Amino acid sequence: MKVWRHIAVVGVVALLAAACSSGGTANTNGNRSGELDPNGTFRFADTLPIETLDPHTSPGAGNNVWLFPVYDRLIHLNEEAELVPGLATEWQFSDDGRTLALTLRQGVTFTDGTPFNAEAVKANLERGQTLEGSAVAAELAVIKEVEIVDEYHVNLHLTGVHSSLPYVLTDRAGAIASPAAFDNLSRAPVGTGMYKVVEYQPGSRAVYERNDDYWDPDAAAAARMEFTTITDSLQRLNALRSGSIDATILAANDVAAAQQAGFVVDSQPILQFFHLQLNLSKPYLDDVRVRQAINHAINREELVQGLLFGLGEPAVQPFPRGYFAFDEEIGTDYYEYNPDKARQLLADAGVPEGYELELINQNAPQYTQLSEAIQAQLADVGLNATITQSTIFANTFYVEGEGDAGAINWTGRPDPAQTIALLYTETGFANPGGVTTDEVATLYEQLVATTDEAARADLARQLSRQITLDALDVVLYFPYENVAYSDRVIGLRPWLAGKLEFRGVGIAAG
Amino acid sequence: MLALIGRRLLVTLPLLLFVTLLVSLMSLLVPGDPAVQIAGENATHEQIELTRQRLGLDRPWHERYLDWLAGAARGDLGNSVFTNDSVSQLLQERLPVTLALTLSALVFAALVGVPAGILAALRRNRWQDSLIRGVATIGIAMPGYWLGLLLLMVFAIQLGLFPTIGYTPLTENPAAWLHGIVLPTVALGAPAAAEVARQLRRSMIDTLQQDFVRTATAKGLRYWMVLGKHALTHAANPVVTVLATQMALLLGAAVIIEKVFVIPGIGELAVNSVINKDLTIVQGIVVVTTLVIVVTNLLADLAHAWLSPRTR
Repeated sequence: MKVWRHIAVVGVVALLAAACSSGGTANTNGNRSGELDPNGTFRFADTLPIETLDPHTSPGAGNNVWLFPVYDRLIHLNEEAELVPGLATEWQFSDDGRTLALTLRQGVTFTDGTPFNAEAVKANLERGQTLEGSAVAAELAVIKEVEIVDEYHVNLHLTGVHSSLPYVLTDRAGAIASPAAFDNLSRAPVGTGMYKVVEYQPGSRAVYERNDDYWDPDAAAAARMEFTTITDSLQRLNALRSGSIDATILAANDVAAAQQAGFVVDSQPILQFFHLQLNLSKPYLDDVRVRQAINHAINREELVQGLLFGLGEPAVQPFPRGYFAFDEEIGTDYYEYNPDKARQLLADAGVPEGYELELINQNAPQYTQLSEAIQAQLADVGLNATITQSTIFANTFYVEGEGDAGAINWTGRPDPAQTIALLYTETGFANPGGVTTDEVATLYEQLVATTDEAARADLARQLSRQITLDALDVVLYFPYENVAYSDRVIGLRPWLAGKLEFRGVGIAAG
Repeated sequence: MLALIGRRLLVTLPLLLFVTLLVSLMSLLVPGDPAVQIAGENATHEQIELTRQRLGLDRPWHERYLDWLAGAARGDLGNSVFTNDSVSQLLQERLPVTLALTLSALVFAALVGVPAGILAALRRNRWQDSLIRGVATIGIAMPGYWLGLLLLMVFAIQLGLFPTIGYTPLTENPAAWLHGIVLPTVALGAPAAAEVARQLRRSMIDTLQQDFVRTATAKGLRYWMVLGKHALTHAANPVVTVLATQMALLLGAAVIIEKVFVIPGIGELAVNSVINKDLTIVQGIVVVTTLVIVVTNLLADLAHAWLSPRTR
C-alpha cells in the first residue's frame, strides 16, 4: 500500500515536470512560398472585449479592429498614419477654412443593397451628432451643416476653422453605415466594408465573410475572418501555440516564448506611449524647473529594459520617431538621465528635501510595476513619492483632481491636434490641472486654424518641441506593439496608428 | 411533494428581493462613475454630465432600485448601462453556455465520483481505497485555475489533443463543442468528483454496517441486490446533498474556468460587468443565478423525498 502512495507521488511530480518545461514544438515548416489561399480563414485574438458593433456608440478606439472591416470611413489612414482616400476620394478645405468639400466614391453599395451617396453621408454624420448615447458627438459638433451638392459631392459647413476634421473622419466619427440598418447596428452591422459580419457573440467573438462587391478587390485577401477576445496575453500565446488562432498581440514578456515556438513577432512602435502625467495646478509642479527636474530624474532606458525587456523606445516627446509630428532636434533624449542636475533644479526651485509627491496608480500589474519603478528613481533625487491605488484612474486623476502625478498610457489619436488638445490645453479632459503655457496655447490655436497639410505638420512638430521644452509632461517610452503570427499568415503589417487593419491579410495555400 | 414545491416557491420571491437589494446597497460602496467610460475617450466634462443624466446615474439609489424592480416584475430586466443591450437577451445568450458547462461538470462529478466512492467503500482500507482517497484529496486541494492551466499545458499544447479555446456553440457543431468542453469540464468537475467520492464512500461504509443490511444478507438476499437496492439508495441521500451544494460552488468556480478556457458564459459577463460597474447586468445575473440555485435545491429535496422511503 505504501508503495502505491510513493508511485502516485512520483507520477504527479513527473506530470508537473512535463507540464512546466518550456513546451511547444517549433514550427519548422520552412519558408512559405507566399501563394495566397483565396478561401483561407484568418483567425485573430484581440485583447479587449467587443462591446458593440455600432461605430457611433462605441466608446473607444479599442474596438476599431472589429469595426473597420465592416465599416469604411470617409477618409482612411495608411500604415504610416497618413490620410488616404476612403469613401471620399478627395477632400478640400475652402479658402477661409470653414467648409470642407468631399468628393465621394462612386459605384459603391452597402451590403444590404442600399446605394452609397451624399444622402447616406448626411444621414450618418447627423446620426453621429444627434443619436442618444453617441460617443462621437463631441468630435462632430464642429459641423454646423451637411450640405448635399449633388449625389457624390458634400460640403461640410463648420462652426469655425477646424483643421483636425479630416483626421477625425478616419475614426468612428467618419464611419458610414447603411441608413436602412440604423436601428440595430450594435448587433447587425451593415457597412460598405471589405467584410460583412455573419456571426456575433457580444463580448467575445465575431465571424466575418468577404464582401465580394468591395470597391478594392485585393483588400479582403482571406475569405473569412474569425475574431475572438482573449484578455490574458499568456492565453493568447497558448491559443497561438495550439493552432486555435493565426495571429494576435502579445505582451513584452511573452515575445521570447513565441519566437522560440517558431512564430513571427513584429515589434514596432505605435502612437501609444506611457507618461508620468503631472498636475500643474499642484504646489511646485507649476514651476518648469521642477518639471524638468523630474524629467532628468527618470532613467527611461532602465524602465524599457526592466519593464519591457527592451521592447520599446525611450522618449521625451508625445510622438514616436518616424511620425510626421516628431521633432528631430529634440529627439528622444532631450532630458537625459541626470540625477545631479535634477537635484540642482529642485534646489533652485526651493523644493524641500524629501518632499512628498502623491502618485495615483491604476490598480493593474503593469501600472503598479511602473509606478514603483518611478518611485525608486524619484527617491534618488530626494522626492518622496507615495503611491495611491485607484481602480478608476480617469475619475480619480482627471475628474476629482486628486494626486500630484499619475503614470498612465495614452493610446494616441489619428490627429496630433487631438492628442495635444486633450492632454495639453486648458480644457483638455485628460489635462488634470487644466493648466498650460501661453506658448503652447498660441501654437495650438494656430494649428487648428491651419488647413494646409504641410503647414500643419510643421506646426505639430513645433508644438511637440514646445511641449517638451516647457516640460508639460514626463513622457517615458513608446512600448512596441508585438504582433505575433504563424508563418501561414501573409500580408500582416504593423500599423502605426495602433489599431491593426487587415487589408491584404490572408492565409498561405498548402 | 406539492406542498414542498409550493413552500419553496413562496420563499423564492422574498429571497430574490433580499439578494437584489443587497447588490444595490453594495454597489453604493464601490467608487467610480461609469459615465466617464461610456461617454467616450474624447468627451468633454459637459458630455460626461449629460451622459450621467441620460443614464439616470445622478438619481438616488433607491429610486433607481425601485425603477428596476418595477421593470423586473414585468419581466424586463433592463438594459446594459454600457451598451444598451437588453439584459434579458445577454443572459439568454450566455446562461445556456455556463449551464451546459456546469451540468457537464456535475455529470462528470457523478460519473467519476460515484464508481470511485463505491469502489473505495467496497475495498475499504485496501490499495484501491488509498489511491482513490489520495487522488480525491489532491482534487479538492488543487485550485481550479491551476488545474485548468495544467490540463491546457499538457493536453492542449504539448500533446495537441484538445483546443485551447474551449468553446464552439453547440448549435454550430456538436462534435466540436464536445471536444472543446472536455478540458474545462474536468478542471471544473474534479473537486466536485472528489467530494462526491469521499462522501459516497463514507455513507456507504456506514450503511453497509447497519442492521438492515445485515438482516437482508442474513435472510439470503444476494450481495448485489443488497448493494443496489438498499445500501446504495440509503447512501445516495448525502450524495444528492453534496451534488446540490456543489452546483452553487460550480457556478462560482465557472467564472475562473471560463476565463482560463475563453468560454463566453455568465461568469465572464459577471466579471466584466462588475469591473465596469454595469449595475443592471449585475442585478440580472444575480437574479438568474439565485433562481438556478433555488431550482437545484428544490430538485435535490425532491430527490431526497423520492429516495427515502420514510418521507415518501
